[in-house]
Amino acid sequence: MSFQYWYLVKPKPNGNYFVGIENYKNIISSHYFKNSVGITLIYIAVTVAFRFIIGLFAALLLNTRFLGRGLARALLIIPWAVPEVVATLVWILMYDQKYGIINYLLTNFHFIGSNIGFLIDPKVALPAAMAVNIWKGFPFVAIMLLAGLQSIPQELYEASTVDGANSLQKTIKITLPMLKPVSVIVFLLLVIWTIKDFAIAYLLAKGGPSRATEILTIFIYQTGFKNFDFGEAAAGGMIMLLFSLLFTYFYLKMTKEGESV
Amino acid sequence: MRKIGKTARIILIAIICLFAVFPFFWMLSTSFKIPQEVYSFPPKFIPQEATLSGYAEVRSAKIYGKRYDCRFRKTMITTLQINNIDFN
Repeated sequence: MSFQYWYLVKPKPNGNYFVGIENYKNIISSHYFKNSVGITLIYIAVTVAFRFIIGLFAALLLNTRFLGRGLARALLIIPWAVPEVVATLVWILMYDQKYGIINYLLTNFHFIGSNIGFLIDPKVALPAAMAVNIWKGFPFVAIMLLAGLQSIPQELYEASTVDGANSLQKTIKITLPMLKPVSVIVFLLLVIWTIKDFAIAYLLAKGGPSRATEILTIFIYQTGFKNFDFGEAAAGGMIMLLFSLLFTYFYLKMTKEGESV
Repeated sequence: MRKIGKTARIILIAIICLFAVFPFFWMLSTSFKIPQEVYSFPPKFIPQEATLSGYAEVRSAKIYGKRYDCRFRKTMITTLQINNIDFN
């Protein structure tokens, strides 16, 4: 399909004929495609980094003993358990420019002077979408890393205590290196999932305000089902597939290595 | 020193948990509000006139010609069936 003429708005008498790499040429030279690739890259980089850091912190904190640890662990899973669509609708309600709770809190504590239209201002819309994604994704990281933390043998810590290491040294020298295999896999999974992420950004603003949140999936969707150029959309999909195949390859390689050790 | 570290840790955990739970809490709180209160200013954390009418309405609401609870039952049954096949 990506090599055929599939522009349904302008049907040709000879139907869906072969056009070679015309679709790819069109899509790569398209200004909007470049825009959406850039946005996707920012989106992936920022959300993966933040999800990872917050998840790591949460895991490290939850691995210590304190009152109500079980409760805290249960509460942390909530964002992950809420369906994407439901979560996004709640965030839309919270982001509301006039009545939203976030604007209310921010103005009340004097962080901002006037209300922000989170989903209306092109400058703020992308960070707003990222925030939802980070909120939704970090519990997964936390749970995975927590499992990784618990598999670290206790003897290592005991030995380092004998050697006189303080807790910061322990964290840097033992915990983080031991977490490396799990983190690499979680990291690759996050990247793969974020490439194909669609629902949150689409529901929040439909790629909108002036294409500020138009990540690659939304761009492909719009090309296919709004502009009815299925050939070009298929070409875009193939390009996206290449990206995710690349990371899937790394992922498979990493999991294989883990098995052989 | 130990005490401070522990307190800081608990505060950090509280912040992360708050961040995680707040949207869920907001959804729960909104679900009990009357329609006028959903878009009120200033927003209220606890609904003043708590009502269950939202739940009653959604149960009998029709989605594509079928009632919500029919849909719900069907979803549950399908989920269970799919998982049964997977586990065997």
